Amino acid sequence: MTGLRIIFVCLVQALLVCGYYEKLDLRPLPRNALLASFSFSLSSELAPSVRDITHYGIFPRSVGQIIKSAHAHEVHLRFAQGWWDASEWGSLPEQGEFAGGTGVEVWAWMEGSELAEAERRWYELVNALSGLFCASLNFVDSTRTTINPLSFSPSSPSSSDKFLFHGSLPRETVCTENLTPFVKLLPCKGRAGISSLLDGHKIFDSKWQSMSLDFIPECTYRGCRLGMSQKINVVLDVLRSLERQNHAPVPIPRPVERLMCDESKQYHSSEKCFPLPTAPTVKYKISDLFGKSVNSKCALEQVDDTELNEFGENAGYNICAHITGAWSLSRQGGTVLSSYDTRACFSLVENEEFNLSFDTDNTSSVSPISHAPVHIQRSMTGRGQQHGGIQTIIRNPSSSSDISVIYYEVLPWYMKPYLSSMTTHVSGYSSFDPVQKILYKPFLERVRGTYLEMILTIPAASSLTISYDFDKTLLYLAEYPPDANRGFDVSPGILRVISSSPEDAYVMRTSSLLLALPTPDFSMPYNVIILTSTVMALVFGTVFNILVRRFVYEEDIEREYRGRGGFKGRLKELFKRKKSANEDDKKAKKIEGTTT
Amino acid sequence: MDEQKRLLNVCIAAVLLRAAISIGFPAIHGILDQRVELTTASTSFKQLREGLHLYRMGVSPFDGGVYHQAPLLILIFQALDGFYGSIAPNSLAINVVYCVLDVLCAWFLVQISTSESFSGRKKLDSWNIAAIYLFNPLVIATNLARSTAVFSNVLILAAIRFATYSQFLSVLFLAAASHLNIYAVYLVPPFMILWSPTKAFSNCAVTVLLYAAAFGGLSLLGYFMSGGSFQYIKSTYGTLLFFSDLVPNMGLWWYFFMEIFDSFRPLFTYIFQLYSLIYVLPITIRLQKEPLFAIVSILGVTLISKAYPELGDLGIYISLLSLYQHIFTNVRYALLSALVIIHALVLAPNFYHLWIYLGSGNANFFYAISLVYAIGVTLILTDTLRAILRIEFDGGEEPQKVVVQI
Amino acid sequence: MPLLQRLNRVFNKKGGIKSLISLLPVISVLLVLAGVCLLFVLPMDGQFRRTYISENALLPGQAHTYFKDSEENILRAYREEVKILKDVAESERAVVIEKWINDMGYKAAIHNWSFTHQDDVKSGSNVYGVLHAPRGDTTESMILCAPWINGDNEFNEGGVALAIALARYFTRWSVWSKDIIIVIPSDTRFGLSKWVADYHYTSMSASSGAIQGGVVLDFPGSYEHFSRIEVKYTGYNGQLPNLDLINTAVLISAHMHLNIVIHGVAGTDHEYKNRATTLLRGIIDQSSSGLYKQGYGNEPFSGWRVDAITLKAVMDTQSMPFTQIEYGKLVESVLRSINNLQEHFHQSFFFYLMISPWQFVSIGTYLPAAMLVGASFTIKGIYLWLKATESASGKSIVESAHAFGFFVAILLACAALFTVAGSAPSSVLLPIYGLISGISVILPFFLNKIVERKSESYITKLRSYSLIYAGLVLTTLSTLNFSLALILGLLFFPLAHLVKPSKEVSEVSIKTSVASLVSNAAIILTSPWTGILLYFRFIVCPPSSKETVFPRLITSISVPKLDDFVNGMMWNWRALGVWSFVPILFLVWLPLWISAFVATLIQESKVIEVESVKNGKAGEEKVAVNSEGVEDGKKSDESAKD
Repeated sequence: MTGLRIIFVCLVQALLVCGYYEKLDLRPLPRNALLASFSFSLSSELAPSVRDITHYGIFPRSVGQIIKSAHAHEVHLRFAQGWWDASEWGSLPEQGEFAGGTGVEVWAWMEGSELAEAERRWYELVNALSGLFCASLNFVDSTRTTINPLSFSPSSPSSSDKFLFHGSLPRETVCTENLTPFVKLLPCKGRAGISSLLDGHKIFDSKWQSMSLDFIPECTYRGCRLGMSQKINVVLDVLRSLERQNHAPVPIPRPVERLMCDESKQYHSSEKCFPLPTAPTVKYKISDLFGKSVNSKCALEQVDDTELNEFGENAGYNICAHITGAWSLSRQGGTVLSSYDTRACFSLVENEEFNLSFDTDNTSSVSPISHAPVHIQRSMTGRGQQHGGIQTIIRNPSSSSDISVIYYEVLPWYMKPYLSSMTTHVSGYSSFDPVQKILYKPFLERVRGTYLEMILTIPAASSLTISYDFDKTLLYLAEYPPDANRGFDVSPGILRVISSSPEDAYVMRTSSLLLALPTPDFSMPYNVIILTSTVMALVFGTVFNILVRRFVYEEDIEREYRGRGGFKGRLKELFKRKKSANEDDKKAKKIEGTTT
Repeated sequence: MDEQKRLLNVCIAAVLLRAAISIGFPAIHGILDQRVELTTASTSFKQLREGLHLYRMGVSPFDGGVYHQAPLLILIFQALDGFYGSIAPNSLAINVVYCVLDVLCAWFLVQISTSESFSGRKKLDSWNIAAIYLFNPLVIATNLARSTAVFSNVLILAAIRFATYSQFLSVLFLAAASHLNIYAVYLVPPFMILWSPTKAFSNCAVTVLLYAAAFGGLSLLGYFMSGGSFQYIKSTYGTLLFFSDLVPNMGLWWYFFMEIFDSFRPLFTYIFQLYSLIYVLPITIRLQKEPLFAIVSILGVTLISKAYPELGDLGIYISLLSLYQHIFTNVRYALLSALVIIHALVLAPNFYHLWIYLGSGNANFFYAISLVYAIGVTLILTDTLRAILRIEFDGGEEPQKVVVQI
Repeated sequence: MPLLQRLNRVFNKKGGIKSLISLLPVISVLLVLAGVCLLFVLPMDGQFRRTYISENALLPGQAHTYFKDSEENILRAYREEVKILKDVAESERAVVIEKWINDMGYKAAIHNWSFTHQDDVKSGSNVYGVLHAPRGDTTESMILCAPWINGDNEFNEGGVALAIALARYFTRWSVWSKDIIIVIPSDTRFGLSKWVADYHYTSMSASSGAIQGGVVLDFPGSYEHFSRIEVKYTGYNGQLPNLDLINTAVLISAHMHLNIVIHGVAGTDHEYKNRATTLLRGIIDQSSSGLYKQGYGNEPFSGWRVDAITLKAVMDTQSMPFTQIEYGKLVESVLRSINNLQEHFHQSFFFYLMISPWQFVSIGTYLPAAMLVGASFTIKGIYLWLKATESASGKSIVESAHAFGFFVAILLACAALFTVAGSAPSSVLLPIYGLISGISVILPFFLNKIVERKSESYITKLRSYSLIYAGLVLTTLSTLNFSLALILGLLFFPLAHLVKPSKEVSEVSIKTSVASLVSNAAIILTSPWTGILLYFRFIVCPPSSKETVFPRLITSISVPKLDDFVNGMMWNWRALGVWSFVPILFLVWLPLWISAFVATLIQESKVIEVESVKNGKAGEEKVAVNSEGVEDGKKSDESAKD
C-alpha cells in the first residue's frame, strides 16, 4: 500500500510543474516478445481547491467535469486483456500498480457526508465514465461494488468523509472502441508524439495489454490541481507482428528456403525440416510493429530539464529502449539523449519522423527481468453445475524471507461459498496458520456479492493452498445473459504484497474464472406454467371431490335408477335431487364447477 | 412382552445400521447432504454449519443468503459443539443425536398407535410400525444427510403423542416445531380439535394464546441472536415465503418460479402459498371425527404444496399412514401409487445427473419427474382420504358393498 | 365425473378388469416384440432425419486453412523424430516432447499418473502443454490430443507427429479466443482418463479454463496417405458428444471431399442395408464401449461435459487417395469451428443414433424401443403380483413382506459377491470369478431349501419383485445408455417369459415337460457366466475355423486371454468408472438370474405342497386371510416400498 502511495508521490513530483509528458519504453523479452510501455501524464491549471478548478488547460475538460460533478476524490480505471506470463516475462511493469485484471476495473474515493450519498455519487460516476470510455461500466451495480476494501488506500491522505468503492467487470472485452476515447484525452489526440503509434489493430493483436487511467488531485501551498496519468502496457509477439506486416494477417507457410531447420538432423533434406526452437536473429523497426513510425513530437509537451531520473540523466526523454549488448539500434530522426549497453534514450523533434530499428543475432539475450515476489494461481475444481470448489495457490519464491499479502476476492451472489469449508495448507508445514486476519461479508441474493479479504503470511520458499466449496444457484429466466451456456465470469482476485519499502511493493491479479451455472430450458415458460398449474388443479380437484361429496351404496343408486325407470326418470330424479340437495352437495357442485 | 422385545430389537438394529453406514462410509453424509432431493435451503446441514461458523466469527448469519434456518438450531448445535467439540456430520455426538432423534420418532409413533384414538381398531404390531419408520430408506437417507427436518419431525410427532395426554406439552412442542418449520402452523386447526375435544371456546382460546406465546418467545430468541433486530425473520421465514433461494427440489415451485415472467412472480408467490394453505380448514372440518388423520393428510398435502419439500417428509407421511391399517381394506390404488412413487424416486436422481453432471439432458427431465412424484403423492393422499371417509360412512360394517360418491 | 364413475362401475361389473389382467402376459411379450421391430423400422425412410448444424456460431468449413506446403516438411521431420521415440521409454519420450512444445511457446508440463489396486499397478506419464490464447482470458480451452498407442494397439506415429506439427503451426495464428491444450497421453485408457480427472479436480502446474471441446488424432503407422476418415464418438457408459461436433467434422470433410464414415460402414446411405448395419453397429458400440479394453481417445472426456471426437484415419492399402496434410487441415478446421463457439456446446442433440454420417434418429423416435422392452418387464411383474394376491395365501401381508425380504437378501448376497470381486487382487481375479460363479450356481439350491415349503404365491411374488426391479432398472438405463438397456432387455427376456416355475406346472405332460426343458435351457443360457464366456469366445477372441467344432470351442479358450479380459473389465470399472458392465452384471443380472433359478427349483416340494393344501394346512391360513382380507395384499407393497 505504501508502495502505491510512494509511486503516486513520484507522479505528483512530476506533475507539480504544470505540463504534459509522454514516454515510451521498449523492452525486448525472451522468445521474441517485446514489452512496450506508453506513459502519458498531464495536469490541470492551479486553483485554490480541486472544486474550483475552472481552467483545465490541456487537462481534458470532459473528465474534469465528471469528477467535479460526481464529487470524486480520486478515480482509477483499468482495462486489461490477455495473460501475463510471469515465468517468461518476470514481474509486471511498475510492480503491477498500473496493470489491471481481465476486463475492466474501476475504483474511486467518493466524497460524501454519509455512505448513502457517496454511493449515489459512485453510481453517477461509473455511468458517466461508461459513456466516456464506451465501456459498460454502467453495469457496475450494488452486486458488483465493494465498499472500503483493505487492498486499496488513497494515494493522497484520506479522511473520514471519503469512501472507497471498487467494481470490476471481468466479462468486458477491451478493444479499439475503448482505445479511441483513451487517446482522445491526450492533448495531441494521437496525431503527433508517441501516441501516434497507438493503433487499435496493433495494440490488440498482442499477447497481453493493459490500459490504465488515474486521476489524482494534488494540493500544495501553491494550490490544487488535477493530475492525470495514462499508461498502456503491451506485450507484442514480434514474429507474428512481422508476419502480419509482411503479408496478409494469416500464417501463410514460409517458402521452404526460408524455413529455419536444424541441419544437424541426419534425415534433414529438402522435404524434411526439423524446426529450430525460435529465430535467433531478428531485425525490426518500430514501424514494423506499430504499422507506422512516430510522425512528430507533440508540440504541447514541455520538457523540464531540471528533473533527473534514477540514472542521473535527463528524465525528459520520449523513447527508451532497454536492451543488452547483443542488440544494435539505429534510429531515424529524433535526438539521442543517452546511450548505454543497457538502455538508449531518445527524444523526438517536431515535424520530424522518428523510427527506431532493433537488430540482434541472439534474441534470447535480453535485459535482466526482475522476478515477481509472489506467484498466484486460482482455479475452479469439481464437476457438474450444482457444486464446485475454488483452489488458490500462492507461492513465495524467495528462499529467505516470508512475505505477508492481502488477498482480495469478490464472488458474484449466485456463487454461494461455504467459509466453514475453507482449508488452508502451507507446503512443508504441518500446522501453520497463515491467516492473520479475515474479513468476510456473505452474499445476499440479488443485492450484493460475497466479499472476502484475507491478510496472509507465507513462509519463505513455500506455497499456500486455500480451497473452499461453493454452491451454484439457479437464476430467474430473465437474469440469464443471452449466452447463458458460456458461463458467468468471476472477477479476478487481487493479491497485494504488504511491504514497507516501495520497491518491494507488488500487486497482481489472478485470471478470471468461468462459472457454469445450471440453465433452464429457455423455451419453456408457457409449458411449465401450464403443466404445473394442471397438476395443482388435479390435486385440488380430486382432494376436494373426495372431501365434499357424499357416499352412497352403489346398489341403492342402481335400485333408484331402475325404480325411476330409464333415462327420463333419471333426469327427473337428478333434477329433484338438485333441489333437495344438502350442504355438502352444493359445495360439491361448486367445486366441480371450479375444477372442470 | 415378546412384543416389547421385538420392538427393542428393531430399534437396536436400526441404530446399528445407521452407525455402521456412518462408520463404513464417512463421506456419505456429505454426498447425501448435497442431494437436492433430500435437503433443501431450509434443512441443509452444511448450511447450518456455515451459519454457525459465521455466528462464531461475529458475522450475523441472518445478514446473508446462506443460512435460512431457525435461530434455535444454531444455539442447539453451538451447545453441542461446545459440549463435544465437533459437529462434523460423522462425529460421535452428531451420530448419537440423530440416532436418538430417529428412535424417538419411532417411539412416539408406537405410542400414538397405542393411544385411544386407535383403541378397538385393527392395527399393526408396534414393532412393525417402528420398523416401517426406522428402515424406510427415505428416513434413513434423510437422517444420514443430517437434514435438520428431523428436529421438526420429532417435535410434530411429540406434539401428536402428547396431544391427548398433556395439552401443555403438546402446545409447546407444536410451537417449537413451527419455529423450526413454519409449515407446522398449518397443523394448529386439527390440533385444536385434539386439544379441546369439547370445543369449549375458553379452552381453545387458552391453547391458542399459549401457542402464540411460545412461538413468540422462540422468535425473540432470534431477535437477540441477530443483535436486536428482526432481520432473521426475513432470511429464515422470508426465504420460505417468497422463495428467494432458487434451488431445484422435488416440489412444484422451483421450475415454475424460474420460468415465470418477472411481473407475475409476486402474484404467483401469493397464489402458491395460498394454495398450500387452502386445504387446511376443509380437511380439518371434514375429518372432525378423525383429527389425527386430518393432521396426517395436511402433512401429505404440504408434501407437494410447500416451497422446499424433501423426501424425508414422505418418509414421515408413510410412517404415519402405517398407523391406519384398518383403512387399507378400502385403499384401491396401492400398487399403482407405489410403482409411480418408486419410479419417480429412482428416476429423479438419474435425470438430475443427466442435467447437472452429464449435461446431456436439460432441466425439463428433472422437472417432469417432480411432476410425476407430485401425482404419485396425490394418489396416496386421495386414496387414503377416500378410504377413511368410506370407513366413516358405514363404520366399515359392510366392506364388501361397493360405495360411490355423488 | 359421475358419468365416468358410472362407466367405470359398468366396466367392473362386466369383469373388464379381470379380462384385462389375464391379457397382461400376452401384452408384455408383444411389447418386447414391438420394441425389436421398432428398431428395424428406424432406418426406413421417413423415420430418420438429416443432420444439420444447429449452433450457428460454428461456421464449419468457413475458415481458410493454411496448414500446407512447407508445413509438411516440418511434419515429416516430426514423423522421423516420433519414429525414433517409438522404442524410447515413456518418461524420456515425455521429456523430449515437453521440450519441443515448450520451445513453441506452450506452457508444457509432464503429468505422471498411476493407478494402484492390491498387487497391480498401472502407471505412466502424459505430456501436455497450454497455448494461452492471445484473444482470450484463459477461461476456455480446446483439446488437441494424440495418444502414443491408438485404440487398435497400433503405434500412433502420424497422429502424434501431426498433433505436434499442428500445435507448432497454431502458434502463428492470432485468432484463437480459447486456449489450446495439446495432450500426448501414454494411452487412451488410464493415462488420458487420469489426466482429464486431474485437470478437473486438482490445479495442475500448467492449467487453463473450462474445456469446450476436443479432437483426438488417430493416424497410425508410417503411411503418409489414408483411405478415409472414421469418426469415433461413443463415450464410456454410452455417453455421446453433442451431435453438432460430429456434424461439423462431417461437413468439413465433405467440403474437403474427404471420404468420411462412421462405424466402418463404407457404403452409400441410400441403401436400407447400410443404414441398418450402421445403426446396429452403433448400438453394439454404445452398449459395449469401455467394456474391457482401451478406447479410441474420445471416451475419457465423456461425463465431464467435454465433447470430443476421434478422427481415425483408415488405411486400406488398395486405394489411399488422401494425404496427411488434408487430415491436418481437417483438424485445423474443426478446431477453428470450436474456437468460434460463443457458448459451450448446448444446442442440437445429445441423444441420437447415427444411421449414416448424414442421417440420425433422435431420441423421440428411438426411445420407445427401449421403453417398451422395459415396460414389458414391469407389466409382467404387475401381472404376477396380481396373480399372486388372488390366491388365498397370497393375501397374507407377512408372506409378501417375507418374499420381499427374500429378494432383498438375494440382492445383498450379490452385492457381497460384487465387493469380493472388486477387492480381489488382479492375479487371482480369474479364479475368484470361477469361485463366485460356482457360489452363484450353488446358492439357489440352498435358497431353495429355505423356500421350498412356501406356497406357490410366494414364488410368484418373488418373481414379480425381481421383474419389477428389472423393469425399473431398464427404464432408468434407457435414458442413460439406450443401447445397453435394449440389449439387457432382450437378454433378460427369457428370464421373464420362458422361465416357468415348476409349481405352475400342475400335471406332467408333453407340453409341461417341454416347458420345463425350455425354462431350464433358458436358465443355463442366460446365466451371467455363460454370457461372459460366450462373449469372450465369439467376440473378444473369435474362434479360428478349426476351433469351431464343439468340444474344441470350449477347450481352446486361452486362459491368459480370458484373464486379461476379466481383469480389463474390473479395471475399467475401478479406474475409469465404467459402470455399465461389472456393476450391472452383479447388481442386476445376477440377482434376476438367481431369483429365476430359485423359482424353477421348487420341483420336488410340489407334492408336499399339494398335500398340504389338501389337509388343511393352507386351511388355517385361509382363516387368517379372511380376517385380514384384501388390504394385506395392498398393505404389503407399502412395505415393499419401504
